[in-house]
Amino acid sequence: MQAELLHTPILAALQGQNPFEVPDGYFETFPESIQEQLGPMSLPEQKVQQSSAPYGYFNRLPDLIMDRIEAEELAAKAPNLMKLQQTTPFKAPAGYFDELPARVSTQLPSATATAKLRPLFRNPGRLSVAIAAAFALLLICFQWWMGPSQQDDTQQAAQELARSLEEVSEDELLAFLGLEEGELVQLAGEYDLNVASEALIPELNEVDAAPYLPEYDEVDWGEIY
Amino acid sequence: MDEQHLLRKLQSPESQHLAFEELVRLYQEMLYYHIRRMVIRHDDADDVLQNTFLKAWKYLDKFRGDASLKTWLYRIATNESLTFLKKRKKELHEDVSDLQDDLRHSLKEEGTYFSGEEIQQKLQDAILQLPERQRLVFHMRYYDELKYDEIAEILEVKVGGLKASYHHAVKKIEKQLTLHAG
Repeated sequence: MQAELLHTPILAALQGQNPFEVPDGYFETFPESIQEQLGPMSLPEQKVQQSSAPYGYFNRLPDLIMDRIEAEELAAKAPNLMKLQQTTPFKAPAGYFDELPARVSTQLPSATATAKLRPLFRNPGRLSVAIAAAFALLLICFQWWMGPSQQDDTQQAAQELARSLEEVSEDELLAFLGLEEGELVQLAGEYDLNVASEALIPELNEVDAAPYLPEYDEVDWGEIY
Repeated sequence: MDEQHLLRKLQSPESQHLAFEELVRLYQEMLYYHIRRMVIRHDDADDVLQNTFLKAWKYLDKFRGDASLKTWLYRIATNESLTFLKKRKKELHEDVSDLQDDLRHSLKEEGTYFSGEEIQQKLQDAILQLPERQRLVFHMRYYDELKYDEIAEILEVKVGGLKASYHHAVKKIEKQLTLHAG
């Protein structure tokens, strides 16, 4: 602004001062004086609903109307049916609904996952074979560790041991090892021995298996009539 | 207890047993009569109803909340009822009229907990002559007063088809009732 007034030094010297003044208190009383001149406010009144409908009434109204229309159509079409009371003629025995929740509740499986374990070894001979194979595996590992010079002897010894262990009963083996059946299976699991893998797979019960079943969300019409 | 609250309790292992009892209490009557009208005998309805709740418990973790609990339970109950009727039909050597006759006969058995009024007997008799789908639709609309879109959601069919089914059912029942009145 000052740069624009470089060529008019007089205006520049006046510095844009306002020479006009207003009476004292003019701006403080101005709004009131304007209102006095306007008189009473005469804005148009907003339309206010004097009555109101119950909550959700207008959402339900289309259904109500359609129901009425249908009822009238049916009354014309099926007067005998419409004359009948719409109550179901079936009854439940006295106290049935009082007892049912408890009866259902007693049948519910546990909420927590309770996987049923299979019997560890269904075939009694399988445990002996599993132990023999485990020993053979350990011997093969030992042979590998000892080096190639010992390989032939160790391999032969392993095969002989496995054969002889097959003839030993399951109980004798467990007694010899000083292990319970469960402990042996646990050891086999820890060392990832394939021989016992089947015994280590728990059998899923129905609740556990449910997430893998198709979702129960379809009406199975099938063929009845 | 609202549905969301009940669902939250059902999802928590600590509270789910009690919450499930609450669910049974809430929906047992509605489902009982839905099943009962399909299978007719009380003892059969009791078996199917218990199976319905046991199935609901089993598949509870698969309930996604897309539909309401009521719709979901109705659907299971419908499936269980249809499965029961299929088995019954097999026991009766696959003859449709055998199944209808069996159900109609069971209305007259003693101890069926049926009101026994003659006109109600005639009405049930007429309903039992309807095809399965019409029978289901008629029950849900006439007795349970469900909206067409609710029925459509339960049965997974289109609303238009449902309306047609209901109107056909009404016409057939009326015809039977008129014959009886005449």
